[in-house]
Amino acid sequence: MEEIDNNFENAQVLSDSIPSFEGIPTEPIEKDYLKILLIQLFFELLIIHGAWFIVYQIDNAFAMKWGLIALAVLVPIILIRVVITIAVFPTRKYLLRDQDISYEQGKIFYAMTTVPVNRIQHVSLGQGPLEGLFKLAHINVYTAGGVQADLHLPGLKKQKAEDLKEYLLHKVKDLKVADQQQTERESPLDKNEGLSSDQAISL
Amino acid sequence: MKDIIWSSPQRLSPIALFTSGALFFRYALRFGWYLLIPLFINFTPERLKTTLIGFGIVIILAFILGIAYFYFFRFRLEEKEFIVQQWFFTFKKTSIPYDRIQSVSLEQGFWHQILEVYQVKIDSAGSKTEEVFLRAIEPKVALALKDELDKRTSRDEGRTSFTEKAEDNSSAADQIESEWKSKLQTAKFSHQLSFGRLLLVGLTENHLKTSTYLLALLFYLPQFNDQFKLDDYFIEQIEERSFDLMSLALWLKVLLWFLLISILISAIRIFLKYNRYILVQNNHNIKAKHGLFRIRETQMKLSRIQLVTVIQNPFQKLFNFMSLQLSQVGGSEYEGEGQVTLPGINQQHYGEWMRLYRSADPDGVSEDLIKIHPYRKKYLIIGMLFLTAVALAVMFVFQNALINWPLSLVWLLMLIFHIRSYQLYGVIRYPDGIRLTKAFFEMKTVFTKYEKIQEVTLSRGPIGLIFGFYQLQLKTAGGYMILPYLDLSTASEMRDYLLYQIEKHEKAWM
Repeated sequence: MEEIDNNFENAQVLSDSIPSFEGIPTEPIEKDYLKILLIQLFFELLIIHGAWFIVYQIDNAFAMKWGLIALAVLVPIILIRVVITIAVFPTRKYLLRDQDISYEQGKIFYAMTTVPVNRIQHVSLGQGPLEGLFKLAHINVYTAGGVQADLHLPGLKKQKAEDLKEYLLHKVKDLKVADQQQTERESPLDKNEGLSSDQAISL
Repeated sequence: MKDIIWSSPQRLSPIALFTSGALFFRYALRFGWYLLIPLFINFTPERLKTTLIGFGIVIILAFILGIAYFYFFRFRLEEKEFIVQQWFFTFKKTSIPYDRIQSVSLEQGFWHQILEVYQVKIDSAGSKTEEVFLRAIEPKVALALKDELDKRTSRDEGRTSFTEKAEDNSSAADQIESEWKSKLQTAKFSHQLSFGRLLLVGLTENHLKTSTYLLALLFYLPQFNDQFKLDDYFIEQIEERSFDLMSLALWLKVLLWFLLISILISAIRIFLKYNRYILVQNNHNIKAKHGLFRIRETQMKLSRIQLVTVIQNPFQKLFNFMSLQLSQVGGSEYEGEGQVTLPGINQQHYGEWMRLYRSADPDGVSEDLIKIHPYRKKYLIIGMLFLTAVALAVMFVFQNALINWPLSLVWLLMLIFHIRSYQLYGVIRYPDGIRLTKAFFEMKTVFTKYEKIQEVTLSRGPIGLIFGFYQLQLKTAGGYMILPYLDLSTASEMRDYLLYQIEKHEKAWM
């Protein structure tokens, strides 16, 4: 017969007391990021037309027949993407809480990804040439088990992105220290069984 | 045996020239097999000659690569990490810290057994690409290396090392065999497959995939057409939109043949793959070994298991057994990488393993659980209507009894499976983890502990937008768990609960 641990607690958790996303306002990303997305689409258009122009120089008849058919298919696709990008942009929002970070986007294809802070492996900050032009940056949040970023948060002011990165890394470090202390103590009495205070944080 | 100085660079056995050359040839075949299709479609002596010349060139190139691979490959053990230097068009140096090494396994393929060498596979934490193969190592060096790595990664659980045993004159294979026997005696849990169970596992495999491949391959062979006179009956009648019982009998005959051939292929495949299957669990480690020609040896720590998946098809249910898959860090639910499989395990044995796995956690043994069935009837009806609409649309396009009769049968089967999937779908929230059961043809149950979840995504697509379907995707370091058919309030409530469980836990995920 196994020995009973008298310090073991199994308090009831009421579903109403679990921290919920409901009612917590999400923060929109910078509007300048829309300009970047539109410029990227404009570049795609330019590349397609450039390719057509090169083919036209090599083989006039081929470009006039198949090249125009390709343009007739690809150009409307890009125009539709412009409309979708503008329509979907207001749904790109993020939410930073005490214990996790979330990013949501999409109307037809909706997704909201949440990464708990205690699962973050590392955080990186990046800035492409177009982002540099608008003084924006993005951060990537990585968890275990993959080579790609689990959460890509674009369209942040450079300073805000740096603050966010520092904040997350600081939180991760704090949690690691707490973990180590917990392991060292290894006493069931020290367990904090209270609910996490998952309040939204505004930077 | 003379002591090996691990800190100085070590070479592979010269047999690696052959095994790595053979491996490169296999890669070339895997990526270039489709170049052989023209030969099958229109066979001519000229094409055969060109193909054979091509084969010759590929073999020579593969063995040149094998020579380069052997010449440049070095490995050594430093104070804190295992270093491998290799060349494959570019020089690459891989350093694996000992604390990141998850498992060290010795494998023997068909050629390895004949040439009496071992392949050492070293798995490290992180993505599935982060693994190192030492393609051919002499048995005693391989065993000594495994010993040394086990020692340095603190996985050595007080067993007698292979190098200590090497003083006697027994062969490396005998030493490994006796090591396994002693492991079996002291194991907390073990699993072996009898010949009868092995045969049953092979016979009750899902043959649909094998049948489809066979059908696609054989349909193009002229001999196949001659045998079943497809030209005379099928194609002509499909074109003329006529139908007779003779054609239906022929269809059934073809399907029966395919089924029999695919059953035979599966039985042979399983017999070769899981022959001499042994799995043992000692304290916190699982070790498995199986294979007739290619012997695979895998080991994993219990704490590294991210997902536990149980798969059972209706045929397996008849014989009361199932297949259990343990996915560890860097593995994937779909690709079979980083996994240990327990085939042919019965319900009682499975329950025994789960209790052992979860008893490491004081919450795990509790029966305090919440069962929910969030798959609403609305979605069941929408799915049935959708399947019927697709079947009617296809029937309307073809308007041919020869196609429509089998199609009606397929539609009926799909409806039955769809209703079955509704009945069996369920989510159970245990105090220590979450379990999802879903089914279509085969029933699949996936369990993960809360602390293994890395990320939670709530999403929906265009169909979800119309009908209010949402899904939760739970990412672990060993694969995904997807909870479909949820309405928004259930999905949100479950997401909040999961995040609460992950965030309040102070347990390490690995």
